[in-house]
Amino acid sequence: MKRNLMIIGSLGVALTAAIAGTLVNADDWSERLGRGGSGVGAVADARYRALCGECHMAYQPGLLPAASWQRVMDGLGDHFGDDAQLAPADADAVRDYLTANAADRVAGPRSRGFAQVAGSGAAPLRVTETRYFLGKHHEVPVRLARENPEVRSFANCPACHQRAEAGAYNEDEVRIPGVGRWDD
Amino acid sequence: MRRWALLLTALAGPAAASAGTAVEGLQAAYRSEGAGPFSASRGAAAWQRQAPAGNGEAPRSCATCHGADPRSAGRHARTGKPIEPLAPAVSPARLSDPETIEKWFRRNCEWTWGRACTPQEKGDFLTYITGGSP
Repeated sequence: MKRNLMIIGSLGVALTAAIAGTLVNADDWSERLGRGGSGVGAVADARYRALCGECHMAYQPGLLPAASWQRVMDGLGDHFGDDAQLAPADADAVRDYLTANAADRVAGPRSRGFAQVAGSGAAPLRVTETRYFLGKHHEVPVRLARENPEVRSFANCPACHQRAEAGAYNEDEVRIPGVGRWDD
Repeated sequence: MRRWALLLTALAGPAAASAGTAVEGLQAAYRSEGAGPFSASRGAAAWQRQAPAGNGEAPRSCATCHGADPRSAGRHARTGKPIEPLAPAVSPARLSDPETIEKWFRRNCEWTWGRACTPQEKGDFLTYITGGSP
């Protein structure tokens, strides 16, 4: 009898902890379950990660609409001032992966946000030029980002978003180098 | 006893040889193009040699992104992404693949100096980065 009570007791504790964890970390859980949540789908293509993740983070395809990725892949010879051309077979594979998983092709609230392009209809070349990104970062002063020697660029997501490489952009996990938590 | 020695060699061999083999192979190729002998001190001087960027940005050298020397960590000048040290003594996976080494010489010599590096310069860099005495 006493043993049964103990078992029920520990089950209760475990269940409460699980529920509390779910409530506190709802974003986190939905991310892990692949429902978008506060994140975008993590990079799943090893070739893309290896080829495009050396000079900068391998941005998740869900951060830009397919039309933007097409423009990026069409212009690798002058990739924001650098020559980033790939072997034709690699370029084709990367293009296919990025466009198939682009913001306007996958589910998830953040990707829905990134899928919105400006009124002119021109697909932005940079994640940092999307309306969604600008809306989320307009309160961040440049001295904390571009002018911060530990950050240098708004495109350097993992400098502040601790789990950016995993596609997690939860505001609670932001730590700005030299500043700490970000609370807007 | 001898068997143990063989086993140890087999275990330690590939890991220890990876950077060495790739670098030796490339330096042999550079020699066949007329370069050599290679010098760590020339490599060290070239590491610091600055060239104008030509677009109003600050002058560039290897150190701009890779840090003061190959054993230091660096940071991409434009994107801010951290860069692991190049020296295999610090980062064992570095310089283990000849194609990767050539690819980055191609890109980074162009970005930094606005031209390809000569076989002599590449050989000097490899000697310097792998810790040859200056």
